[in-house]
Amino acid sequence: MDILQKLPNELIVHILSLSTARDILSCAACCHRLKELVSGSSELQFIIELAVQGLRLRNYPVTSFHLDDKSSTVKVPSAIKQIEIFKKSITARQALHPFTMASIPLERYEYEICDGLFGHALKDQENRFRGLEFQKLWIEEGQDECPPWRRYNDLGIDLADFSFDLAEDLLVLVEDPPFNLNMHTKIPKSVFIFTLSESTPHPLARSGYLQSPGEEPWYQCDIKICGPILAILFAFPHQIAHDHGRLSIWNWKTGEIIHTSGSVGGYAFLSQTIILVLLLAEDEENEDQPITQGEMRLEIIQLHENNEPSTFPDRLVLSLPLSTTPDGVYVFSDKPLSDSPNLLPDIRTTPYTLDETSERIIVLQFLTWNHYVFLSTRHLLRLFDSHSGSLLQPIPWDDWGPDGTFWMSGPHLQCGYTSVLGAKFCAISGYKRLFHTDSEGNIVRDEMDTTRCEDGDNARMLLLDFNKRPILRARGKSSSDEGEKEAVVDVGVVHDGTDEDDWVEEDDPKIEKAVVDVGEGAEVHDGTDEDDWVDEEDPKIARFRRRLGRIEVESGSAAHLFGMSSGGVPGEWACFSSHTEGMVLSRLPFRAFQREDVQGYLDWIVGMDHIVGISKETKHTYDVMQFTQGW
Amino acid sequence: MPVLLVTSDNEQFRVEKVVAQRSVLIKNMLEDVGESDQPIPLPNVTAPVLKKVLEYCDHHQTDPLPTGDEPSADESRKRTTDISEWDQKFITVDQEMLFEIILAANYLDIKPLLDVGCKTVANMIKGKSPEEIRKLFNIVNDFTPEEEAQIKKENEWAEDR
Repeated sequence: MDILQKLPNELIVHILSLSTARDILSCAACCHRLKELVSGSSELQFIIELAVQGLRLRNYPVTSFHLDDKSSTVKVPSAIKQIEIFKKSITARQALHPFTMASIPLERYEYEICDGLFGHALKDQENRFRGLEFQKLWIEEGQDECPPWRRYNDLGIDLADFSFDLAEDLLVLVEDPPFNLNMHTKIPKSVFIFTLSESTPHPLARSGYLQSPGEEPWYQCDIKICGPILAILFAFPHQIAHDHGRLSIWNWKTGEIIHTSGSVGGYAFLSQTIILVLLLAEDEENEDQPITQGEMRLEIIQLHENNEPSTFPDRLVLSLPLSTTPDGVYVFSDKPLSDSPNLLPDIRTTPYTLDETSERIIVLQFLTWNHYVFLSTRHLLRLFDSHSGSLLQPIPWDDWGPDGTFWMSGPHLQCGYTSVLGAKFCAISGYKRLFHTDSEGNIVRDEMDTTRCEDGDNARMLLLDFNKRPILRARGKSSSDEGEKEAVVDVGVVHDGTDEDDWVEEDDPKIEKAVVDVGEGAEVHDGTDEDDWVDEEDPKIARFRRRLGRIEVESGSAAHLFGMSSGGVPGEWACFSSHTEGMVLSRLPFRAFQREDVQGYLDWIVGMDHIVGISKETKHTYDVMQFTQGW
Repeated sequence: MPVLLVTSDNEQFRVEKVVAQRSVLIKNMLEDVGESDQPIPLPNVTAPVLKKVLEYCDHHQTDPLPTGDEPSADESRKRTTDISEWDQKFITVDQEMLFEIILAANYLDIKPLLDVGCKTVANMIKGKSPEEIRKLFNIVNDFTPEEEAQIKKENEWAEDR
């Protein structure tokens, strides 16, 4: 007898909802009862619909970085996998070019990208922002439009801002207060939690809407969602005291306000429960006492499971070395890695998920001097971990900054036209060139070309990738009982020169010690013959890179050395060694590449493998520049 | 204080209250009845199945109880069907028992156990063709050859996903 007959329909639907679209369809092809169950379930149809459109719920990296583990290490995938990633990144980078563009009418400059969807605002006939349209961000051959996915003409609220997440089927809407220029009128703001797929109240949210604690007439807002945590920064309009806002943090599933904080310039999630807050002018404990002029504070605060709301017992305060309080500050970051809130019934200290391909950076932009500070989330989390517990005395910049941070100063980049995704950063440059690059896009000099773009020139697009670095080839030595042998580090693999198949593996008994000399005058092998050292005069080689620095790996661990790179920037090199628990030791801050003569764009949004430019030419379209996969 | 449970086949089980309360159904019944020695009848569960279910409840008696009394949160988005090692061993039973456990967990309202059971079935289906699934669950193919050809055609796109 059919054993499935035993189960009621809702249990079969529940089982199938745990399956992939393919498995659901296989079941639907078994018999009439299952076919009807599948076609009658909106939940199963949603899963299938996503798959049909090539959309997938997010699949996060499997490696993890546990904050609660005192001996935090960053675990990376196997060396081989790592190498594949790097090889792929090199190929992808070389092929970096927009191969297709599309223009879609943009009615208002409210837009967001997540999980391959581009959401943008719709205006109604009275010019009110009440609707949203979501489009898939890739273009089939021969098409010049991004196909629409969902369109909601009227959501029933005048919107100030929105945010969405496909994996969580979440759409968050912030209500615009009724039009009122009288600043003395107190108008609370409301936040609505909807499903993205149907624009109905989200079933997991206990209350349909949340209300900001303050009664000030905030006019601008910035929402971020991370699992069950929703944060909104409400800010005053620009002309009054810009970037001087109130940050409210909710558990959107219960409707509880967990924390509020004034004087916030910007914020970012480092993990689901760790939030970086940039404080501007006042001390939170004495709200009227301004922080010393010129001192900027970064606070890293952690939410705890089972703690009473409104308490943040763990916080770390960092100071930034600024001589005056900046005029305007933005924090750029993408959505944090978080699993679906469906899986996280309550706030908990979730490990920050991280591997080499998912390192994230957070960019602080100071308007006054076009200063950019790039912070590595990994660095910040480690810092937090090592100071676990409350530390309210600001740690001076010298003690925390240089390792995991990178400054870029001067008017290199156009303010506002920047976007961050993971460890990728994209901006429009006001300079002709920021870095000199060779034909492969590697940085060859770190000097700036200070020629400014003329008005009317096309823009320069700068891409910084803090994650993927090219691995070049270097030569080293290894010694064993049988004497010293040469070793070659070649895109991630160590040769020991003993035979044809001489890759050194982790358990290779031949190797006791390897020294890879990357010092001045080090030689590079090209593998063509016995005497194949490459030097500057070698006609075979178009380009010669000098390597600086030196790395030694002791005692049997030579095999663990699996790649290195000078990156071409004098004084900076990177090496990758699983010997040190898979840590990437690098002083190379990023890999940069740039495109010249891109059209004039007003803004950029970086996607996983796309960059979307908001066109300057025709103010009401956005252009999708589709870059190669895996950029 | 122990609680007395009576199965459909009239077998009695005396279990610790903390164990029995893993079942939201029993928990609510106890709250309604208050302090009482009255046995609790479970007309939808047989003795062998209850024994197995109580084994699960006993092992998980110290787990935090699911919070909130709203209808069970929709956890269906979870695609990865991972099950803990103990649960995996626990749920390694014949199909008949597996389905009985799912039904009992549903009736007794033990959400984590229901999830373990459903994930196990989802894992059994994973990657299988319709024919293999029919064989697995003894499903009779009630499609006409024409209908079957049509379905196969519709589902072609999913083959390489």
